[in-house]
Amino acid sequence: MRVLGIESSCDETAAAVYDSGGGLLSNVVTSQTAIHALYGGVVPELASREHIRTVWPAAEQALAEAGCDAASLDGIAATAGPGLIGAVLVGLSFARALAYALKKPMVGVDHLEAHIYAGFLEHDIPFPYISLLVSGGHTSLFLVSSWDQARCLGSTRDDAAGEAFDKAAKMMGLGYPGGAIIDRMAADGDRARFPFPRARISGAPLDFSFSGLKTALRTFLETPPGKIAAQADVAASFQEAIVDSLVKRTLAAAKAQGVPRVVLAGGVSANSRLRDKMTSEGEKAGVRVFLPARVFCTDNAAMVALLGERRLSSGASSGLDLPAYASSRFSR
Amino acid sequence: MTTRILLRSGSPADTLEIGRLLGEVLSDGDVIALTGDLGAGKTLFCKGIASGLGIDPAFVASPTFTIVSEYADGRLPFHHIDAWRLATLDEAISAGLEDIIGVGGVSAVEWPENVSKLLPNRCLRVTFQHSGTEGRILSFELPNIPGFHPFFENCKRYLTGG
Repeated sequence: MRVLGIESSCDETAAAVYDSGGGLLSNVVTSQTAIHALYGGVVPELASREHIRTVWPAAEQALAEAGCDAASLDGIAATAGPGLIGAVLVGLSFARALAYALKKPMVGVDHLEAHIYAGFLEHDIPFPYISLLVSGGHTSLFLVSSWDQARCLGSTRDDAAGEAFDKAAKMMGLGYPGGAIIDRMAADGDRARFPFPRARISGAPLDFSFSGLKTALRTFLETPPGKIAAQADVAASFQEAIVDSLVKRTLAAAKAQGVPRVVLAGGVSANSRLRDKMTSEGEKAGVRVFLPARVFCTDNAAMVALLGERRLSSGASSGLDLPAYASSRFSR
Repeated sequence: MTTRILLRSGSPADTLEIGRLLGEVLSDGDVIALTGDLGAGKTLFCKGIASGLGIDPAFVASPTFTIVSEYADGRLPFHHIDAWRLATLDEAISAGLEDIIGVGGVSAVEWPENVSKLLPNRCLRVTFQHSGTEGRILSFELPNIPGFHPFFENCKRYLTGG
């Protein structure tokens, strides 16, 4: 079965073709990061307008790179939510229209689930595993037991890790995207130089909190040691506080569930310190850590096409009136 | 007519509690505009409002990335809005904020200066200022209507000396 996947839930317009036999045949991402850098974040109106402009060329390019035409597709998959509703609608409407024109089945895919299963694009991962989904909008741990079963074990109570990076970069007068800049800058810094707080939620050991860390950075930057501190040291120490929280809770979840496998997902899993520390600490704990290639960390359509292929292969499909949704459907 | 009061929060727990006391007296259509720097306690205050509306505050997280988070399981619908990333009125309108703010339920808006044209005249304004590391001064401008009188009563212990 050959499936075209479309992703437009945030600031990337993406299209990819996944084949049951041949695997991933193409993976096209049109990033809007340069546009949004001007604004220090994702701007919904710009996002929707850009998606409309780029969705069809992205799909055509994905088909061309896969060496197939639309008629050879067996189905279409698109992200149905959660995300910026106007942005989601662009990709979803495009997929619905294409499916209708081709008389092929269409399936809506949950953006979070697509990330959670994205590890299968590169690895053969036995179920069950622990997924850490960490990005600008999400920081959650899941126990993934099968293609149809993923349970949320813990989430952030306030800011997402990627948001903490973005806001820290803003406070430090750096640019956007903050995560990538801090990662680069931290490489030359002393991560033990400044002890930033690691918050714990009493009674919820797998939940995260990064709001206090943000406030601590703000206070630190306003006091004498912070004013004269080398930015590389601040970046490295701040990053270490986030990475430390992520690694500790992820491995605690693996231990509590008796699952010796961890799969990273989401934009922040491109962070080099997170990748290194999760791998080395995982080794000590007897946990195998699966890292996604950077291209599959950030939003992409390969993961949408893959999950779409699984869903369509198992006989599932959505009606052409499938609505887009804004909020996550995962609860605990 | 508006009433101005200054409250002193000595800790994050106080900020949460003042938010909760406000949430208890809010009614359908109320809009709260929350102004203050990054890390001033706006999202924490919104957790308090949610709690006062009967929503589990544990699941109220920052809406910076998604712009709007909606909670339907309290005594009134609660729209938690963050305009930090919106640069113009056009962007706010196409994010759908015009159809949300003040239309139904309770709306709390962080970074309201970015969407000021969408806020109703009859809006509750709360400004957060740092006062030491943990402390905050919360300055309230409230419409002078009887519905808020219990809030003034219940907040007496947080009044600043002046």
